[in-house]
Amino acid sequence: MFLKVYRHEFKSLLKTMLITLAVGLVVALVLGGVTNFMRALAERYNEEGQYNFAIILLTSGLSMSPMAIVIVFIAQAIIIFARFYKSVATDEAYLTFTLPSDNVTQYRARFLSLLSWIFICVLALIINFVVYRIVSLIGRVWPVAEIFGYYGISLSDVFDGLLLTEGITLAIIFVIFECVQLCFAILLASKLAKKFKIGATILFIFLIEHVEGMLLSSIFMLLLSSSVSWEIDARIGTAIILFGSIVLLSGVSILWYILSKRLVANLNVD
Amino acid sequence: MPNVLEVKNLTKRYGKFTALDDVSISVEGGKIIGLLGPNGSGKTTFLKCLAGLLTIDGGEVLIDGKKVGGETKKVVSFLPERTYLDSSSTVIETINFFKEFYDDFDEQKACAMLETLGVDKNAKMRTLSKGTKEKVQLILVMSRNAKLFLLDEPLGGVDPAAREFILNTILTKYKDGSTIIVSTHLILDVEEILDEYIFVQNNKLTAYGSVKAIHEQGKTVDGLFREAFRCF
Repeated sequence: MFLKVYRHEFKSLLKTMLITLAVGLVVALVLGGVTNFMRALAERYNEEGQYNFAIILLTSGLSMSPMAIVIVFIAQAIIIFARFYKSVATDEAYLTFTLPSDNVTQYRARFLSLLSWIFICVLALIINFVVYRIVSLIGRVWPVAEIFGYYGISLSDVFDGLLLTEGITLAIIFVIFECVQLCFAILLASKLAKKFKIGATILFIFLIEHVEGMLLSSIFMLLLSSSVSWEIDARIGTAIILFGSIVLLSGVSILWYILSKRLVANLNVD
Repeated sequence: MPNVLEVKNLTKRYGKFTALDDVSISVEGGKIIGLLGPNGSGKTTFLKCLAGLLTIDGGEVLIDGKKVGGETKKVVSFLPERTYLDSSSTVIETINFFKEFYDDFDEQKACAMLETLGVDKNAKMRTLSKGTKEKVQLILVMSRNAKLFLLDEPLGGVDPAAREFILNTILTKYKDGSTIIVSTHLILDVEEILDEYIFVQNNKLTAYGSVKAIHEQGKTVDGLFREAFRCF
């Protein structure tokens, strides 16, 4: 039953998500191309000593264009969480929780589907940024492998200095933590609020994100201020990542326990 | 027939409000039972407890000898008052969904019933009227070969012609040996098909008996209901 529910939930978003993924890629390609063209135009005017403020203004405006890629990602995340909300906190919950399996299985399968889509979208976000950069630098940096060099970074810096593997691990744990936290907010708000459930859920999400942001930034600032220098070497980087992973995993475990044992197992569908 | 439903000292609270207070009942298999009572008496709460949509605060509910959970949901078919179907799906997609999730779902029967009521299988749920959505939902629920059917106000939003269809559908299930618990205010419409009645008042079961016995006394369940729940 777990796999059946997971498959059904995943497929229910497939059509919509494929469209949004395609939109994200098109946005990255178009914005990359436009940025490339505008920059070239601005450089030509600059070389000729003509300062066309319209071009400069447009070019500086385009420097904000990666925001559009992030907006597409946010829209995707909203669609994914809205699907989860619909299946567990609206009238559709009557169907969800009368399907022939226990409530916790229903919740877990739906959460896993949500998580799968979020990871796909995060991957698409990264790909879209890379595509945007490559397209915006075509003609200026070639071959593409030299892009890091264009920014004064060598590949060894990326792999050694930023502790790529540990960084990715931390990012994965962070994404899982965020998803568990948001599902927790959705379930708790829908349980507590008798009216205006959507508003209450959004408010609760903002509240929980705010508190989490404050807590995490305080912890990391404390950790960073205790280091002898701001230069992140491998040792300090590993410590931060390890500490961050432990904090986030603890958060995931606590929230998961409350979700499974308290909210879902003691279900009351209004 | 063995008991399909055993409820012992069931209590359900919403905060400080007690929605069901120490309810006990045993229901034999193969019966049609009317769950009757005024608004807010606890009928829907009772059905939702049996369907596994509410966590009970006290007592025990056994369906087919098992505690309410994943296993009992396999043999219980619940029709809530609300429309719970995904509005973005078509009718046929919804049928396929039921077919995929319920082993006892009879697709042919569902399609035949849809045809009888003239519902377009390719229509999106959101384009259907409220009454038609309720009919589709009823068809889906009644197309299962479940042991226990829980119907919450199945006659509420449908026209008189459809009511007859619904009552016939319930009778078909009765012939198949299933137990059907129908919660309704429209007692006159269902009285003829009922075997037993349950009266719910002030969150307690106040009466449980045979409809035949009432009729033998020259009374009707509707008359008894009006007597028991007189407002003035």
